[in-house]
Amino acid sequence: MPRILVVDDDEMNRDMLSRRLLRKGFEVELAVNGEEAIQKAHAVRPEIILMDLSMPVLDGYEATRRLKASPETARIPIIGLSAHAMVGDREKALAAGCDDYDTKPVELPRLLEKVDARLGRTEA
Amino acid sequence: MRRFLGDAPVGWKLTVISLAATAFPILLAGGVLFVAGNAEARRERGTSLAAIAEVLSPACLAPLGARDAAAAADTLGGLGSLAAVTRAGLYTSDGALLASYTRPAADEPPPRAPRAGGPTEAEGHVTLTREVLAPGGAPLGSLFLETDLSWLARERRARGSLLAVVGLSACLLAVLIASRLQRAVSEPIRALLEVARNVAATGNYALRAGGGGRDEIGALVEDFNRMLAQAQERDAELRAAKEAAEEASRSKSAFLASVSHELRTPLNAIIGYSEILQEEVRERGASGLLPDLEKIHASGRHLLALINDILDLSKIEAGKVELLVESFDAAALVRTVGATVQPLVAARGNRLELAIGSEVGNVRADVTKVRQILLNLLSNAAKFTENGTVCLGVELSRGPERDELVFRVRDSGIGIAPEQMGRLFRAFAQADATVSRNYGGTGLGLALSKRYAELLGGELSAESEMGKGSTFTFRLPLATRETRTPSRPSLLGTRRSDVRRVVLPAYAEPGPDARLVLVVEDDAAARGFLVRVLNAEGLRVVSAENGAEGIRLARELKPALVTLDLLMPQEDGLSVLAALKADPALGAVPVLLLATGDDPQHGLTLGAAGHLVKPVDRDRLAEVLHRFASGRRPPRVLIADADEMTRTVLRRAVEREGGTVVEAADGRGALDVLASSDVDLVLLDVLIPGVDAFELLRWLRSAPGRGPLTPVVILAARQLTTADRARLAGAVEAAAVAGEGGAPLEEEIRRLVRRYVHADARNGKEAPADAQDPGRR
Ligand SMILES: Nc1ncnc2c1ncn2[C@@H]1O[C@H](COP(=O)(O)OP(=O)(O)OP(=O)(O)O)[C@@H](O)[C@H]1O
Ligand SMILES: [Mg+2]
Repeated sequence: MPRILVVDDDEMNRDMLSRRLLRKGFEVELAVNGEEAIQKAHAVRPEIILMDLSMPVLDGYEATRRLKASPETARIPIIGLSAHAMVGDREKALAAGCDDYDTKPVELPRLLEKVDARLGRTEA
Repeated sequence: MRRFLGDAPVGWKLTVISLAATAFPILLAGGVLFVAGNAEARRERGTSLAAIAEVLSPACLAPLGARDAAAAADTLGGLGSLAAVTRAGLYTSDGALLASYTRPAADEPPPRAPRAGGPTEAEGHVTLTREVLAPGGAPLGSLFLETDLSWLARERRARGSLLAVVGLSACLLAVLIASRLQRAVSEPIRALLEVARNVAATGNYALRAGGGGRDEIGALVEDFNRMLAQAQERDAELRAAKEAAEEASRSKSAFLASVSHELRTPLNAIIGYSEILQEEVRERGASGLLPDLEKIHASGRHLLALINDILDLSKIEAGKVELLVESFDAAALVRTVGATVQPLVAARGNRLELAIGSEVGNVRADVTKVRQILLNLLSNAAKFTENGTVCLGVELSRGPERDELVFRVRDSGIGIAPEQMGRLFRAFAQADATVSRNYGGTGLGLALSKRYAELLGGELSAESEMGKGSTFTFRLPLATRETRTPSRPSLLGTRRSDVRRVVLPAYAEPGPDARLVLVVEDDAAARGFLVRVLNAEGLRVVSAENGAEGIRLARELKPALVTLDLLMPQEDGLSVLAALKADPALGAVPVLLLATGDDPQHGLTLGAAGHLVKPVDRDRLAEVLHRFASGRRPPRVLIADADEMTRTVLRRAVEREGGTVVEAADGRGALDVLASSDVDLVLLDVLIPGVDAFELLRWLRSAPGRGPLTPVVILAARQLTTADRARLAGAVEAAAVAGEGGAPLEEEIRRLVRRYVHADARNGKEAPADAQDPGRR
């Protein structure tokens, strides 16, 4: 099953997302900020990353930029997530290098669709 | 009189009044004197004739008694010495003329036997006939005397002229004196008027009227000033109140934004966990719990939608909404929106119809906003209609002023009561409390949609008939931008392909010590774009929506660079540029003009450091920015001059400013340098051999790359001719003439180097006055 890295500073968010993804059969890795996300991305080589964009220490935009700048992690698709689309959030996310973008709270079916699309899978 | 003087200035009025007050008494007195003098003269004539007769009578006795005509003539002849008498006759008692006297000028002889009496006046003569009485009292004859009044007319004329001369001089004097003295009255009034007009025109209540003294006018001036002071006070109060209100509204929006964020976080958990629970409950087959979980979940979602709407509204009200204008296919949008709402519409047994006009094509607008408006309208239509139809249509409407896309959302639902129509687009305006109970919703959808429609330059309106259905019409101008500032190309490009090319840069939070760039741009989308590009370049950005704000911020923040939109509605870029350059504290700050065509030439002569043509190319902007605002590498200066001495002097000047130098001894060499590498400043001898300096300039200005932006300083050993200056206009930044204007050339060059290439030295901490200090570096 694909390995998915969930990056979120909020514990409940991580918990919710990981539980649901686990149930859908993903192998889930967690990171609590951008720095850890970069570390984990290099260490565990996830197939896809769900990245919260507003986080302390190193935010999702910068983390994405760095991941996309590093040849080892550049190919990992990243879906940016932010609470309530402030105007321009989506553009900012895509500009930072995110492959896709979604809003929180996540609507799981929609998010899974995006994940599948990025993983090149049809209907998990 | 009053009508005649009505519109004349006060000074005039006063003069005319004094003139009238002088002239009328003079005329009256003169006239009376004149008439009285006449009568007096006549009377005098009569009496003097009588006196002559009295004197003459005794002398006539003898000739009359003797009827001696010769002696009588002799007696009368003595009258010749009396100029007054024109004719005289001596008659015997039977009336025969004994002797007569006629003044040479008189033509007629004395009359025959006139009756005694007189003096009587007739036909310009005064006549008198007296009986000559013997000592015993018996009449011996009579004496006729006549005098004419022609002298009187003469005298009258003389007197009249005198009167006229005196009268006129008096009037003249009156006018002179009045026109001087009236100023004491009219000047303060005029000054007062001036101030009043000024205040009205400028709204500057700090002005005060002067003069006035202690009379009524002085009191008026004083009262006027007092009124001004009151107005000023009130004005200040109003302004303060307005600022406070704006501040309050801003903090309200900020508060709302942060509260909504705080609310959303726990809400997130509620929604998320209720979803998880639903999944787990379903898996474990405890479906009895599902309805409750679904209610929790639905309420959570509802609350979230509400919070988001409030946040959106507060953002609109705070003016914080950015439009991302791009070109998109309206027909395609209608189709996808139709597909999105299809299930929602079908949920109440409704049929969805789409009607797309054949002419409908691309439109330039913010597609997310348009979509949101349509979704709001459709969700309402679906909500308030059962077993009916919901139709979404779009068509092109060509108008005299602009072309529009007209979106219509029609339903056959319950309709809207007339009394509700008026508040339909207000926030939280639902038909009544039962609506939210029966249909859900909060009454924010239409309020938001209306605001969005207006933001896009369009309008949203509704028609409805109770029980029959409603139609909402959303008119969207084909080009959102164009409706706001006509015929103005978009910063983000005008074609679809342009839009695609604009890759928005990654967002980066610049550090606190990053250089500061001030963006002056009225267009929100363009401003957003610039801010992002600049942020991505690691620069801090402050933006101003108009020229006045830009100037204010520039003074306050002393940015390292200003980007200035040339076309702004209130104050155009050029005047802002002029104001910036005129300010000694800001003159050295480079200004980058963003313009649409070749109009920036103007700006360069006014002191702009460079310009970019819209639509702005991101890479080019970044490149220019680095040149002006980051300045990481030392500036490279090309010195093109045939004279080695000059080159050495200049090199020293540049190097002392921390720059590096490339030298060229002739035009060819200069061209080679310019063609092969980038320089930050060119010092160019106007008489450079090889290639004509003007030729070289033309080449540089039309060269690809950054050539057109490179500042060029012309060096001339003599004063440039007007023709030279005309050829250089717009192409060079400055012309330094050796030995001109006191400052030695070297000094001047160092100043120019500082000005044009030391963008990095110009952050806020450094006062430009320092930059003038030669021994600093
Ligand atoms: N198509 C329609 N037919 C009948 N009534 C309508 C229609 N559209 C709007 N209304 C009336 O206008 C009110 C305001 O609509 P609006 O979309 O602003 O709020 P809402 O739909 O009640 O809530 P929200 O959209 O915020 O969920 C509605 O409550 C309803 O009374
Ligand atoms: Mg609604």
